[in-house]
Amino acid sequence: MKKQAIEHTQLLVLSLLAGEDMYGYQMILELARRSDRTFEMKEGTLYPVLHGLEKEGLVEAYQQEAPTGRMRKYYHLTRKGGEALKTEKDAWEAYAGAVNAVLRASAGLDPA
Amino acid sequence: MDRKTYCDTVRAQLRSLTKEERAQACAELDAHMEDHICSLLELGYDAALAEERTLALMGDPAEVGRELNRQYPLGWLAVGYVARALTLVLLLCMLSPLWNLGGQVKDHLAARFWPLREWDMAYIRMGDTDLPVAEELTEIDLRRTVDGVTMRLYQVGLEDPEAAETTAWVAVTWYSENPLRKTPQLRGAFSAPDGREVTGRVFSGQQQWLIYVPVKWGEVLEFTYDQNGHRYDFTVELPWKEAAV
Repeated sequence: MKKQAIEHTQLLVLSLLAGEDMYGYQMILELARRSDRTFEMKEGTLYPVLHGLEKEGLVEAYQQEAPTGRMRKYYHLTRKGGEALKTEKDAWEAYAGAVNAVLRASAGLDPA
Repeated sequence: MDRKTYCDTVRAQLRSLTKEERAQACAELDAHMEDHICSLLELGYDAALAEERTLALMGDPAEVGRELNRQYPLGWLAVGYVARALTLVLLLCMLSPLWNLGGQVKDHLAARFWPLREWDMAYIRMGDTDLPVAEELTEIDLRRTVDGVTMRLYQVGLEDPEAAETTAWVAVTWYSENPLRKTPQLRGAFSAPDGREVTGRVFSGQQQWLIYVPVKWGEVLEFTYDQNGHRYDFTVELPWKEAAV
């Protein structure tokens, strides 16, 4: 099976940005909401992930004024990031599917 | 710990980032904490508890700083500094002709208006302790111009103005009349009509000389500078004192 080229946190962040551009705190909230609070990371650790993705050209950042007047740094998924997301998503689904198949077989849920 | 301490702790780990990148990274973290605190305030937290809760959820600032720092390979920072250094060197090379011109104009002005006057006699001797030096030089202003280059005598003195035989000293400088034209490098081609030795000592970028000649009491000093067809003739009154005769 093909090895994951990026880490799971990176994959989750890319996935979040596939729908819309977001700023850091928004990503934390959205990640908690979509995972039903399964993924609650230490919030500061999000930024090394974002900066790493930016260095790799998978996301790009821009400043935009928030409704409160404060400047916020938003992240946008690049075309390269979109391609990476698709590849890694396929790889992850294949991996998860294989793990599930093994688990089901072990539990006697899928004798075939 | 408060927000500022958190950011300072992160910042201390960001050794591979430029100053601007460090500031941006810390501003982003601070904005995140502010967003979180504002959310908690809206939920009814008091300010102190909201900040405490936010900081607890941010994670270890040193670890966050180290991880952020890892995203910025030091090599790129070094490449950036080297590129800037090379650009600076290139710029300096491009500007060096202007500096040379500036130095040339400065030498011209110095020779023309304020040539070296405070002679260091110990230096003039250059180890020759028997060299008879003039302790006092008086101002003169004799100029001859040949092919746009002026030679100027501007000081004269005697080792002993009352002695029957002594040594005369003359301060000489020269410059191109056009300050933008390089002054040719003159050599020690001084001579006297009667063949006596005229010795020169060079000072200050080859543009100022102090020459000395043996003289007898009451003489008027005559000497010539002749090099490559450029000839300058001078007759110099010496500051004799009557009392010694």
